[in-house]
Amino acid sequence: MILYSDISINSNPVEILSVEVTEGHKQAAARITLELSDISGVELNHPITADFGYTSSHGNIFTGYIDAITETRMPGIYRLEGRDIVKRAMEHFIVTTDLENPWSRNNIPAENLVRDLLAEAGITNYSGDATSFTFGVSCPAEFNLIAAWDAVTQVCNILAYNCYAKNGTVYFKRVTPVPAETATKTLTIGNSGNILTEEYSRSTDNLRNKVVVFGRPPIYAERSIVSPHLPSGFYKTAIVSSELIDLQSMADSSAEYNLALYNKLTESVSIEIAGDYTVRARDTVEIIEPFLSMYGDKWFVFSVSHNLSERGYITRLNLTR
Amino acid sequence: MAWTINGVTIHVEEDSDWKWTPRIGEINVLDSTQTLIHHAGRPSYTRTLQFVVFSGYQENILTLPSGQVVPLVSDLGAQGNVTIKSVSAKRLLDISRNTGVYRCTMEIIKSGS
Repeated sequence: MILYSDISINSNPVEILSVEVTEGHKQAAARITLELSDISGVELNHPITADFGYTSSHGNIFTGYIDAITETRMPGIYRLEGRDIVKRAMEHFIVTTDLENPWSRNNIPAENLVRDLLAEAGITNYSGDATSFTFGVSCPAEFNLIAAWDAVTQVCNILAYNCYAKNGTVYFKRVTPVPAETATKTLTIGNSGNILTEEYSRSTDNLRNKVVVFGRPPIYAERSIVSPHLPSGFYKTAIVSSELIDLQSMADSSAEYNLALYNKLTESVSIEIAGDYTVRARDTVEIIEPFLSMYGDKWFVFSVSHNLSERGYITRLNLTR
Repeated sequence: MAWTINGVTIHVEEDSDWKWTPRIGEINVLDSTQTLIHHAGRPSYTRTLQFVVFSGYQENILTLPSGQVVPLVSDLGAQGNVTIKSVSAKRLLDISRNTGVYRCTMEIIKSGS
């Protein structure tokens, strides 16, 4: 299989020595790292797109901006690092000179609040799922002296929603790190397989069987459940706290959503496969591997990195369920 | 017909001719009896020459690896412009000459494109 790469910076194709793209469920922005021997005409914050795979099959997996340029005199190699388009929201600070009238919205659905916050950073390619949550009901939802992305993250944490970029569009939707019913890819071993290495582990590191939500006083909600993976009567607690929670029903729902999200065993598989650009973060894959007693087990792609270099094309996955 | 490199006459004793090793990533799948091969391009051509210089080794041969490409002409005709990767020599005993006679080994690179 002949490797293919078409990396463009500021719409100009560049020749690369290696490229790595990483993205993850809890990773705010996808990242790209490039090594190349010539950076003529390349400047910081130039737009960058990466399309790679094989000559027979390839696709775009990164759209963003250059963050940093590192130059090494000998042997004359440049390393570029970039983040996807949510970098704009991370670097846009919401500042109001009139402290009496900060940036605010009233009676606004959560998906529209996120839309407006992203628009402040110039991000307009946006797709937000309907939440049935309305902010600024009893008092305005205000943001000042905060990065647009941090404001979006506050909204996400309250609703157990996620915000991320994929192929140049920012999505706001609830994605729980559990596999879907249908896998988009099968990973297997043997002559027609693609698994190179694998490691399976399980722990209670991220398990939380109690969630406490604090809103605008005196709003408060609490949910808990007994976990078979913890000592009897033992609770590990997660806290959600925000002034944006201004209704009791909102606090109750937030506690229920987050308990469902956190009350589960942390199971993970680290796996390397022959390069496959179609595997993306938040996908569901199934594994067929007798050593791990997995015969079609489905896993959520928590993070993925695509590394293409002279050593070949390897995709590394961290899977959870 | 004598060989020349950058116009300097050399007397070639051994010639590896052009060598080329494609850049290949070997990907080994678990429990497989096959190897996935990822072609990741190819490097330039390389070649090793062993030759004798009867005079002017230090002035004309040792100064060649200057970062410039130089033309190589063999008994079969022009071989293109080459970059010299390394050159080394041993001095030979030759009582018939007043000049230093050297047996040289030279590694050269030519773009594969």
